[in-house]
Amino acid sequence: MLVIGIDGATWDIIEPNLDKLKNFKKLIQEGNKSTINLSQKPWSPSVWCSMFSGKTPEEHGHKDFVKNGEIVRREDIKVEFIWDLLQKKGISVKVLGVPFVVPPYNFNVDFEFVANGLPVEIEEIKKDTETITEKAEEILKKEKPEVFIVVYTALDRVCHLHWGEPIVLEMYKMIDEALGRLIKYDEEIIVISDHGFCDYDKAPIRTLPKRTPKGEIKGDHHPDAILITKNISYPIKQPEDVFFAIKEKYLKGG
Amino acid sequence: MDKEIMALPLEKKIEKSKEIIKKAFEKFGREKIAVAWTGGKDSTLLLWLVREVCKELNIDLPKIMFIDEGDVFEEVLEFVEKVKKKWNLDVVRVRNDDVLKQVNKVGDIVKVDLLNERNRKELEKIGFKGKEFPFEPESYVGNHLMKTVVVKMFLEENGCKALITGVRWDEQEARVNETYFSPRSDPDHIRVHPILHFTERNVWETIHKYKIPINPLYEKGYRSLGAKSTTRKTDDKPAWEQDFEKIPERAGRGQDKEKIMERLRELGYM
Repeated sequence: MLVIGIDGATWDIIEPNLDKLKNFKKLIQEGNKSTINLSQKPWSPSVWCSMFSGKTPEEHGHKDFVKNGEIVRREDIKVEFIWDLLQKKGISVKVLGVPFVVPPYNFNVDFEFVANGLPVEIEEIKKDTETITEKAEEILKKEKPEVFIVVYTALDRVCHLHWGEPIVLEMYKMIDEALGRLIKYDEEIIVISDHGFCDYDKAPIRTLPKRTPKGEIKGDHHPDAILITKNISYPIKQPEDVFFAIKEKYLKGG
Repeated sequence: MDKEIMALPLEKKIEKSKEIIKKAFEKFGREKIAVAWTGGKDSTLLLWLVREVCKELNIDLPKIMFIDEGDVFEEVLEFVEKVKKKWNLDVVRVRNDDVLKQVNKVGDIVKVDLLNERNRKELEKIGFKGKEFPFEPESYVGNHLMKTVVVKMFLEENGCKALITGVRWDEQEARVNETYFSPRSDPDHIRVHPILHFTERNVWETIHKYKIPINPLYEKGYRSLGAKSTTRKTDDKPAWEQDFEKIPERAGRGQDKEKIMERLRELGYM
């Protein structure tokens, strides 16, 4: 199974531009698309944590990248993730860049992210996306684990800083190209975002202050996330269901 | 930073440093002064200067404090022992045993309710509300308990009015505005900074010229020494042969964490 996470992806950009995003289009045609209306708050660390632990925010207790002036680490979050369970059962699994912590979390993958996974400048963002795709393709081609999870984080940054600007669609095109390179390696696919995006002033929740040292924040999180599945029978209604979808296929009865 | 002083030739800079040390002795009295020694190049140079002044004035050395933050390079401990013998020094090793008794290595969990009252109060002061934290001497919490608190306790217990340290203007941005005599509170004392005007190059020039002992880690390529688990070499060449302009002096020091925190701050996450 291949899970591709795209931080902050929204149908509001994808749908009107499907002619320019041909791999999104192809995948939607081959599979099913839906919208996840988050029942939890659209905070990235918390949602990604739920997605791969199967636990609600109340259960996993993880909300921010920094707590008490310290960077929160994997060890600080007292949950077992799906990859921990798969590994225990001897099912090959690799994970690249799940952004519930910074730098993003890898499992069975050795990879260093551009700017510790916090790229800001356009050049950094492009390089970050490219290098992740290269690494992901190498893993799928050479090692082909049973389960591979990869997350693209930089779109979120672009949307916060450049919402309403052409660079946003450019970024979606880059991710579309990445999709094209990765989806051919698996028949069971989940593409999912942790939340959507909208204009900062219309956002139902503010995750960042309006002004930051890197400039004015133009977009913020919307509770509608995207989901595309291909050959996945488990019904995914909330982020936690991704954990159960993987569990049902690989860890049934255990 | 005073550009005129920075431009002085080496011998004048050494003189200037000795003047500052002498002034501190006059102001506070030798008995009420402590010198902070880390076993690194700057504070070893500082210690040499203090010793030279004491020889000139024919007085004993002030108190010397070595801070053991619980994650010290073996090479640093050996170096400290070696210099102690060579210069016949009386050194007090200060450390936060109350924290250290809970841990064996960096990353081990420290439980706040098992700490003594002093440490718990100190955590309150910096606004830490957690029940536990991982032991890391250079984290925000770790640095406070392992360095700041032990220094405070040493100054309080010995009634010190001044602490002489080896900080330098050109070492990092945060030190550009430091002054030779800088008042501090909790407890009230004066920080004395005799080598503020030394550049990294000046430090090595002086060390070589006067054959001041060199910690072997610098020969292996370390430029600046911090806790063992967070300090890296910046190159394989000896520190004094590296490109000072291209590679920042503190490039090998806990860099990822500092960068991450800076980015998160810039992006508005904290």
